[in-house]
Amino acid sequence: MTASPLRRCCLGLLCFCLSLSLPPGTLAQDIDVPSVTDTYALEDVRVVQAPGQVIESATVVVRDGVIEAVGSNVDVPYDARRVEDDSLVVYAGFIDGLSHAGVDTPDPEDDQEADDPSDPPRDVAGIQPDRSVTSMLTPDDSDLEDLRKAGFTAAHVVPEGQMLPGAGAYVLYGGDTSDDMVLEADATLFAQIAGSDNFVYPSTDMAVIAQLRQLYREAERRQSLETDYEQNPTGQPRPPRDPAHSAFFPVIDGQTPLAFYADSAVDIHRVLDLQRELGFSLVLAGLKDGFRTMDVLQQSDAPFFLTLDLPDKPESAVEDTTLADTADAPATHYDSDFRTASYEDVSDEAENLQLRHLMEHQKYLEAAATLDEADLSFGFTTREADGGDIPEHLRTMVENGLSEETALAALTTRPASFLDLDDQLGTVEEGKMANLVVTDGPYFDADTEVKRVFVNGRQYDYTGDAAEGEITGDVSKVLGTWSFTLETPGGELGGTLTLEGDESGLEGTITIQGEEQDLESISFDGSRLSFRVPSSQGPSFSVSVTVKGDTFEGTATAQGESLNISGERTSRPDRR
Amino acid sequence: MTASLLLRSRLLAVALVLALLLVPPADAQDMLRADAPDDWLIQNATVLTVTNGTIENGDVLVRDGVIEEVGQDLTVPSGLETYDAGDQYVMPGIIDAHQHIAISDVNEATNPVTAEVGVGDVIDPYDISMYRGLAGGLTTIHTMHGSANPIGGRNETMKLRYGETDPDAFPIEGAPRTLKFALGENPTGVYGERRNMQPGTRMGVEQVIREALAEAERYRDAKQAYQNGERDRPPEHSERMEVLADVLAGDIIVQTHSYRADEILMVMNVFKDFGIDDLVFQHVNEGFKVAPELAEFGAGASVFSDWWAYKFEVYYSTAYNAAILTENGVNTSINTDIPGQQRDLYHQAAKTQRYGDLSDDEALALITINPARQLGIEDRVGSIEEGKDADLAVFSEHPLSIYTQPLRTYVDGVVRFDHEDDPDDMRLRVDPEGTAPPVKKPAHAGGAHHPHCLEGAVLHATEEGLSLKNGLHNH
Amino acid sequence: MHLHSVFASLLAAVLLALPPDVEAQKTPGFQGPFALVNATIMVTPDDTLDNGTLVIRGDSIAAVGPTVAVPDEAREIDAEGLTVYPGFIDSGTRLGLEEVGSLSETQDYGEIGDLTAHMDALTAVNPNSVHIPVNRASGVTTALTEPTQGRLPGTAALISLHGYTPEQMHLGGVKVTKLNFPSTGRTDADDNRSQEEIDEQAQKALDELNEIWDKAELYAEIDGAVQEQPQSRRTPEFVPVMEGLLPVIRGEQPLLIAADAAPDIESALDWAGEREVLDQVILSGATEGWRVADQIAEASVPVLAGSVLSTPTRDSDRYDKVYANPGLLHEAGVEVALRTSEVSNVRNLPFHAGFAATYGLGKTEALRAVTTTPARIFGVDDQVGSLEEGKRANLFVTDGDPFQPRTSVEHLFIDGYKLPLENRHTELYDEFLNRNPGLEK
Repeated sequence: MTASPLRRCCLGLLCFCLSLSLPPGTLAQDIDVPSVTDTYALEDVRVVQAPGQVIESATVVVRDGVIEAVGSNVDVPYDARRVEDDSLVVYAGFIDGLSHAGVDTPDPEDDQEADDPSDPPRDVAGIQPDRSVTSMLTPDDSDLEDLRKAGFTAAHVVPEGQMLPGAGAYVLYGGDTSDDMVLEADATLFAQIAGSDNFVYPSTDMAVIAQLRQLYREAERRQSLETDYEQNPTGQPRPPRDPAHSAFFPVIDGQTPLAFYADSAVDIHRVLDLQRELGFSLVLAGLKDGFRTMDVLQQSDAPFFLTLDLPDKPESAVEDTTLADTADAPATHYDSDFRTASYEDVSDEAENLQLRHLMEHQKYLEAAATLDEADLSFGFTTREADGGDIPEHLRTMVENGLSEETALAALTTRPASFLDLDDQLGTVEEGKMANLVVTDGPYFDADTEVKRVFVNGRQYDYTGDAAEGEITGDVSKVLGTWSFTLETPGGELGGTLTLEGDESGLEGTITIQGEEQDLESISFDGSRLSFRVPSSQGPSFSVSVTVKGDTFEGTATAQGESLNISGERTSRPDRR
Repeated sequence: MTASLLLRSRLLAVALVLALLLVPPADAQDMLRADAPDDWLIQNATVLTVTNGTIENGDVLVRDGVIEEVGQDLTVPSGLETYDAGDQYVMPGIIDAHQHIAISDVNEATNPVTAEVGVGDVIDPYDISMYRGLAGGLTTIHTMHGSANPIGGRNETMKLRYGETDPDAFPIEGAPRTLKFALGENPTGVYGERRNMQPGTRMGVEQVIREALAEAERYRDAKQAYQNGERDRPPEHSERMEVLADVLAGDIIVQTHSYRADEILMVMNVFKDFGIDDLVFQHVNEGFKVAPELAEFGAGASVFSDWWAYKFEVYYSTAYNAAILTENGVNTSINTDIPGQQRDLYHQAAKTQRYGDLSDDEALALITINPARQLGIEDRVGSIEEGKDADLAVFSEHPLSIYTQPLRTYVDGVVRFDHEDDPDDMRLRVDPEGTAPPVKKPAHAGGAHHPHCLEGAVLHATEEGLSLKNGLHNH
Repeated sequence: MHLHSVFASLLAAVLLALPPDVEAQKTPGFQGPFALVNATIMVTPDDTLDNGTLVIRGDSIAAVGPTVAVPDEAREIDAEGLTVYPGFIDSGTRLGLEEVGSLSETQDYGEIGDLTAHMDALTAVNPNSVHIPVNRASGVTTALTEPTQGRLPGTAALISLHGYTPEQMHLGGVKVTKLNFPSTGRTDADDNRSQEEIDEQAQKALDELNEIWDKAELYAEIDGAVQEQPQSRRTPEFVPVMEGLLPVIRGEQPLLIAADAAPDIESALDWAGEREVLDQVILSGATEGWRVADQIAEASVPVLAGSVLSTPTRDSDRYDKVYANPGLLHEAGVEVALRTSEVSNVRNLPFHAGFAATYGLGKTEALRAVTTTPARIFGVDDQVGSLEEGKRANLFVTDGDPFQPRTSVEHLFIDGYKLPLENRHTELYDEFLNRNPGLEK
């Protein structure tokens, strides 16, 4: 096993409880089993080298951060740690088109009250194009872990801030140090149409747009003065210099794109208008409303990165069962000509409006497919998405018309090419960087899980993580209250477990030392019971046990650490 | 219960029809006028041309969005859509010379001079306010920067082509640029009172304007000198000075928020000194006191019908303002300023018949040809004349009658409002996570008049709304 | 073309040949007797008299009819071609309580605190407010003027738009206690609260209201018990806000509930039912009243609707829903009066009524909504709202439909006083129409 930082442990809630009950020095986190080798052989796996390009029963050898071999007849090196499982699928590591993951942007100083709001210091105004995200990288950011678990291994990351937060970089979503992460520094200049938080100039979107024009045009002037001066400095005053304008020189030269994030239709238009006006090269991420702006997107040659965030489904506000019949296909029931003549129509109006909201929701689910049908080539951005939601959101996009191949291309080959990293990333090919996603089935299948992720040859092991909840067995075998014992390095720890529900789903709580926590992802297949215990303090832990009669035995796992757990049922639900 | 059963049966019927037609369903709002015709013959109407009298039993022929012919008993070209406007009135599409709808920002209230900023950069095609305006016969708006700054931002003259979603589809092609100025309590309140910086008085407002224009002269001269080879380098680029230099060159119409007679005179004096001619005063509640001077300068006046006393500088106002200005030869319009009020300009114009006995044509001119002149778009809109854009408003009765109802509104010949055919919900988009639109408190229900709120925002919620949004009220 | 009101009144002065001291433009009001002859008289919205005579004596209508004799001493006003209307009633304003909208020094409608039921708007009515003559010039002779701020802002008062002390203006002793019902509406575009937060806050406010009401009932009970045996029982603690609520708790004073959003109106009706004050309730605002019109009708609660010239409360609403609200309420059987919710433009009440008429209420019902209906709701239908013998002489004379903007008001009477129509707005017109000096001095 690699020297996983996860071994610093913290079994979530468990850790909290243990620390109360055990003498110091005996905690699980102190155990650090050293890594033996950095060479891996994934044997008998299905390899999706690139979208539509699959090798069944192949072996992938990873050595020194590089994919050393891929194929059906590959020799496994003597020093390889072997992973053999014919259910595994290997994909190229996903590439995130724009995010702040792993970026710790320095907090602005509190209360930056400018004396003169019309002419604030640059940092107060949010004009910091001379900052670089590479100085803000933090490899142990928990966002990175969440995104890796979803399959992301590399990214274009940018600083947080206001109108010009700084230069973006292409990075790896893994590494010990920030230097390990960097693939290419100062790859983009990040900009957003976002006014100053401090109510100084520019405070509105329109003033930000004006200020971008001002900076750009003046940078053009200064750059030409610089060129002139370099050729013939004698007798000329030195041109005015400041980092805010100088940062635009490579943008003006076309060497560095301006990267914008824009989700709303109006913001997308504003960015594209500005690009047409000033002529910089553009990277555009967000595009949540992109399906509303197809015409202008089609006229642009910018790389696009579509958000992996999807809106939540509207919750029914109408207490009427008829709606349930209509909600699945709102468009066929929606009356676009609805009119209220009096109070008598009010409840119908509410239902009709709700259908409209459902239809609108549907458009967002179909957005990826809609863009694809219009031949708009896009990758994805995770900026506004939670890592844990991403696989489900991708599945939703696929269920709503995006082909799996396109989705995979948008996660791998396309962003690799957009970022000009396709010689290193994007496919599972010999010689490419060993950025891999290993799943226990096709990525877009509902019950598939990411088991391992390789970033630059380094393995992140998620095999201990619990499956999502699924009930296939007779739940009466587990319903009720159980008392259990957990064998920890520091001694035994007792607690209780309560399960209720039916075939449609189980709910439960775990109580350890008086601390109660709800269970997540409870699965039961008739003998195997598993669930996850989330924790706000640290990583969650998973429990997987085999139920026999009124007893169970199994393991509790957090990030590769496993402890034995056993229990017995103390009560069953009342029968009526 | 029964209601929802009814709905259900109706929905089923709708579903059945759709299934039969095998047409993928789309909501009307999505399809809004997407492929609507812009060729029409409107027949048998009382046509209020505003500039050429009234034609009883008149017809208006519209081709490609332009008025091709106006007269009686026009022959129906084959294949043309006709609209029988018998017993109805057709007037030119109404123009609101001062609004703040369909934009996402109003005030850049951080700097007394922000000529470089423009609301045209932040047009919001999804604002339902545009449809509400159309439902009042409105077809053109001058949507403006707010009044926080002595020299504010550029405004935008737009057609209400509601249903289009590209912001670039709204500005009127070739309309002159306009720039907002603001005098009096708003700028002195924002800067002097709340920030302890200039301008804190009407004296300060004058000097802020003079300083900016003087700087613009120098900027213009420096650029000229560079172009003439009299200077080695171009001056430091300034988006702000570029705009002000265009004001000096007469390429931009200045639209000045103003109330008091003295400040109105002040701006005219400043403009005389800088040789600037194109000037329209907005609100100009005390314009009636200096009507001869306004007429002599040739400045326009865009006023409220009868709003007064919402702040001290409009306490000595009169609802007869528009009539006095008109009688004194000042080109005058009536505007609504406040989002929400854009719906009833025809009624606001009608009030000038109570307050000053204006004739029908004079009253209608206040919301059509006069504002068109103030915005420099009178060649295209503001009257029913051959060759002008087919921006038309159809009313059930004379538009100055209290009992009239707007029935149809054409923009460039396209029906963008139809009393008969439009459903209730005309939003172009809704919240994908919601189930219903939020319920807003009506403007009258407290709040707006509370003394702890930003005053001036009472009627000027629009003008200073952004200040509120940005937390100025906490200062 | 009609004549401007100033010229018309000049003309009338000449025709009447009355003593010059009385007819000069800037004279204050004066009492008659007067006789309006050859007039079309709208006695009530249902009953219009052609070519009739109306005699005003003292503060009242002495006679009205087709064949009424003109008293010898009466000043006769020939109303040939003119129509006489009962003075309009605006059922919700802040008239007299605000002079300048941006200057809190000139505003007396919002006392500090949420519980100020003991505040009395009448106290702060400025009889000499510039707004009063400006607004009555359109025929509005009566207005409810209201405090606005907090949960229980105080009592509103019905006032005549003429008088030199608040008491002279106070009409029929009418006071109503105002309750701003907990609202679930969003205050403005920047109100980003989630619906859950909004509902939670409204529920909390409702719980507080119930607590207030519990205490107010207890206070009334103790007070009643002490009054039964004042000698032997201790005078209770004086709690001003509870004191202010006593007339409502005792069923002696109406409760004016301001609510606009449909759920708030529903909730207000439920609440009033539970607190057993439903028969005292008058709903004010009710912008979304049409959505729950059946419930309002069933509760037999009258509504003071308005402002009519306003935008819909929901973006999904039809553009004219607020105009249509009074008509829809009426159609459902609700008694509807109208309000402007204004100060400086109470004069626009006829236009609000005109819009309501156009969008479903109909002209006759719209006339009722500014005359007889509010008079009945406020319990002063024996005094105002129609032109019947014995009623107060609150009336105005026009050259046309009073809802039409082009119509001029020619004469105005309040409590039998013939009032000048001049006001700040006409005076500035007179001075500046042809300014002298003009450009050259």
